Amino acid sequence: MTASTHKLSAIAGVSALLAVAAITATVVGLLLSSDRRVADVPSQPQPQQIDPALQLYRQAAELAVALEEPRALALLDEQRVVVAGDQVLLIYRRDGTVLKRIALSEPPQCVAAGSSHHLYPQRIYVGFRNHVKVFDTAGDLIAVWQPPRDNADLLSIAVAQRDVFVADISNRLVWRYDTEGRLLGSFGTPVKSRGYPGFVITTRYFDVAASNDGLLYAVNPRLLRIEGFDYTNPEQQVPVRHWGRGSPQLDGFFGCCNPIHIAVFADGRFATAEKGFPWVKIFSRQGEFEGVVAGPAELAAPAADLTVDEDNNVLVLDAAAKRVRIFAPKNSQDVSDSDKRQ
Amino acid sequence: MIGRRRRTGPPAENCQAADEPNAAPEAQRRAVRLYSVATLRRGSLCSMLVVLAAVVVWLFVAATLIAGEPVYPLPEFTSGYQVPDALHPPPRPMWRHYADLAYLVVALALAAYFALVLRWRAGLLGLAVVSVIWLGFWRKGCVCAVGAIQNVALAIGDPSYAIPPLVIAIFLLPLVFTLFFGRVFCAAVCPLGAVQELVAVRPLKVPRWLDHALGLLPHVYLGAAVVLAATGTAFVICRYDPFVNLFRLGGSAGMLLFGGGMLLLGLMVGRPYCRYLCPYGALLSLLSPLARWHVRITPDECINCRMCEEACPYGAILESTTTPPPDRNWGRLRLGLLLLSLPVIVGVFAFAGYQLHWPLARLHPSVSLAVRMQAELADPSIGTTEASDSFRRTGRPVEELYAEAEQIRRRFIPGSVFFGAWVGLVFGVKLVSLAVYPFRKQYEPHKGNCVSCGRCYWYCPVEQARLGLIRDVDLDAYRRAAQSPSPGGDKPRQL
Amino acid sequence: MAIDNIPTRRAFLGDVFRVLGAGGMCCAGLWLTLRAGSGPQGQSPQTSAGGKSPAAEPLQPLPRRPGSYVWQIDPDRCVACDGCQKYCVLDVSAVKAVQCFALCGYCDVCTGYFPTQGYVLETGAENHLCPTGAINRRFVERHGDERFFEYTIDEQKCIGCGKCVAGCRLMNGSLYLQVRHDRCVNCNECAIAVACPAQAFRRVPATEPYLLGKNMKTAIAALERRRQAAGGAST
Repeated sequence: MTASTHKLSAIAGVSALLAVAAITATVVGLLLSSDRRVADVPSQPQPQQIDPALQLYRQAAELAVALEEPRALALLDEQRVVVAGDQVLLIYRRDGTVLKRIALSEPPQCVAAGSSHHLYPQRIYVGFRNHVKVFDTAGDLIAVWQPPRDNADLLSIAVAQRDVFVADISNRLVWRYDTEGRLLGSFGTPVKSRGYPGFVITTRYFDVAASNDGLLYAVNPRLLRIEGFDYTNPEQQVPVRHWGRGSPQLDGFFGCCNPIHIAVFADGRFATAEKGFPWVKIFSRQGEFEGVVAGPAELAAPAADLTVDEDNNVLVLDAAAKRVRIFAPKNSQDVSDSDKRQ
Repeated sequence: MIGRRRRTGPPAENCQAADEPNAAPEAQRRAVRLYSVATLRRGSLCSMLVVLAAVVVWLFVAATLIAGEPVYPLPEFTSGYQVPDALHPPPRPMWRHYADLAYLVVALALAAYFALVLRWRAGLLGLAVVSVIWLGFWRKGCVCAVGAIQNVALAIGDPSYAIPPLVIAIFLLPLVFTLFFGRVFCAAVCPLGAVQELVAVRPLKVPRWLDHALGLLPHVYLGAAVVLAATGTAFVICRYDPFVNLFRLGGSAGMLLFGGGMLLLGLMVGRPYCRYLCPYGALLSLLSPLARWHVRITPDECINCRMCEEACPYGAILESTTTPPPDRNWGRLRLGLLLLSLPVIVGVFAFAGYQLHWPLARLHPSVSLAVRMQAELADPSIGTTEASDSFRRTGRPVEELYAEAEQIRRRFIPGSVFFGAWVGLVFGVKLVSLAVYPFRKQYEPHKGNCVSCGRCYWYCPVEQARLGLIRDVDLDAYRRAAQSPSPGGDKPRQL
Repeated sequence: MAIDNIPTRRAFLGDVFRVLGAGGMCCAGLWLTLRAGSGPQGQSPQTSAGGKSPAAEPLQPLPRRPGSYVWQIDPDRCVACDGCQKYCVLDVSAVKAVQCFALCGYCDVCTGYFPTQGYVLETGAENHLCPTGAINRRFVERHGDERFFEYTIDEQKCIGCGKCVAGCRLMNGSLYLQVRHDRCVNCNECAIAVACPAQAFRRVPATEPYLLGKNMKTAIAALERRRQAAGGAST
């Protein structure tokens, strides 16, 4: 019995060690293999493929924005960019240095700046939930404009020569102010007799842009189109022109309600940003699709804001990456400064 | 927000009748009342329409005159369409949890009563059937006492985990019962044990050495499960629970196969899961030797007839010692050496455990994601996984993920050292217990391994005499046969 | 005499030990219960609340409750992969798509209903994004040329694959996946939570067993205010 007990313990010991090792290896292997799922089959909706000939722009530069939640973007002049977000207004030089930091009392929702054609060039108009504040470049508060209505929810500002337009998603109207903050009127009221349904908005995006041709362009997202209002003629209640159509193809606006942001070039062409698949596209003056600035390959999320400069560059506020990304036309000469990113 | 209280409307020429913004709600309400009076006086259709228009205006103004919150614009429905609310079915009502708890208490008490007082195997079997139906097929969900180990371990390891008292009760009740009555929980209450009990029709005997070796596994499994649960990594006991998928009649094919295979194996090897895997069984086997009352094979004195030797399908019957004790000095020396080497074994295993902490930590989803992200950022050509894709989509900085992974890795160091030390201790104690010469005057159940199934009663002539199935004369015959040396270790003759 | 006493004394000491042991275990359990939910939030799907995400609201420590906890998907973390369909232990997943009507745009071109490429606005089965045709599209009303449709989920048909959720995310994101507690068997370790690539599953108190996304909360609050205003006006 002694010998047998002896043998027993030896056998038991060895086999126990082996068994422990085997089971541990098996369990570890099983556990490790369980999270090695490679994303082979895409479960997410896939965007359109793009013809390289339609890629009209390339990224020329980008500047990191020191904000948790960048909301809006405007161009002050050739060299300066204004970014609003969190509770602050940041003025950047294009190389990325912060020139000015203006603290705000509440989160801004939109921003615009007077161009050289504006009555007060370089004035900064900041839209909050239901009112507008006007700053100069030194950061001094010039004026606080009364809310058009208490329930206003201002999502976009556009500046023309003598007028300032504010898009109010709550009332589904675009308010027109003069530069002193006097309310002059509004656009977008439905006119049954002319079959104009007004702004049909079922999503939290509403954008306006002023053009040099005396028209104010506003997106009518649910109708998948952009409408031009003649603000010089106060009698004109309905848009004088509209363009755009819904389409799953690149040449139209995708889904239920697009585009989300627009900007108008000096020559009257349009840049649009979409949600869903975050395309930024170029359309001609007449509204024909010309090409693509950026798409899902470049942008992880829909653009938070969009603006264009005199050199036909497109500036996109990429809130996910917390960057302003500057796209330059491919044929332009001005592509030198940030090839180092490659 | 200076302007919030002031209502400055747009100039009159731009106002539309349908959405007059100037009027305060009070004024509107007054207007409605005035119009109502007018309606009564005139009663014309026209004024009715005016009233309606006023009400509509008031509705609109009242609905929109709320500032301060962002708007998600719903369509302005005009057809009277009411926006519905999403309906959510409620979870299991609370009383059902209490019913389960009550069943647990009643079943434990009944099992103890059947096993220890009535010595009634049929009753235990019946209770097992009820448990499989109630706790297995009907209840389907969790938590069971076996899995509750992990909830308790997690609650100890992570103070933010809010463990429901119900789970603690489910975990503790069988432990307390075991402390007094042995493993009656395994006998007929645990659905996992009960289902194996029901299929153990013709079990074979597992060779002793294999039984001893495999018997270490539950302890190792227990240690691993506790460490993985306490670090919030995984609930492996639940993940590799063989029978829960059978009870639910669903689940992954692999686990169903594992469960089915375990049941098939259970036809030939008694309770394979309970004996060689179940971590709760390991816990109970530590407490069961301390039990106040424990299942006894014989209701009275053992006559050493060896009839019960083959009765137990779970290898839990210890023979009475027939051989003389071996050389005492050698035995003492061996025991002393083993006892001295026990701390060394524990230390070596603890060190091995420390070495294991990084592979173990990589089982944590956040750590494995961090490792993956690091690899992907270093070499984008390896592609992405669903997890890394999702992580990228959140926009969370990768440094935050690395910091979190590092924190988890540090938590794994004490955990894996404990795991290693525990495995070493289990191994060492097993060696010591094998080296101890057992003095037993009678056949008795192994107090740790016996699951109180009650099979052995029937084989005991003393029990049969107690039940009045055999006469005292026959019992004496057994007694004589046991005392007379049987040639060649033959089995005593059957009745 | 002494010999007679030994087993009795041992038995008595044993009893004392057992009672103390049982009492100690109960006390430990009580301590665990009382301590529960007091520490900082854990980071894993096993803990009561999942890890932090900058998009999600800060997680509150779970209140101590006698009740139980159930699994739920945080819509703000969910990436609408098809894991819920694949990994649930039930043959037909306990996870279903849910419509948050307050956030829905009642779109004509619904990206949760029609495939995102080459959609045709016809409701024939071949044009459905949903593999089981579990979304019902019902005409509500018309404003000029613009038509509004209500989309509801037929939970009998829904398999929880999340295709519509991913599609709807492209626009308003009113569709979201939730564990339906009339079907969920509440595993101690949810098989989907283990597989979830976004760690979107977490335990929630059974008294509040459903979660909403940030936008949904805002939209529902806005709808409630509208209803209250309408209710106040009608009385």
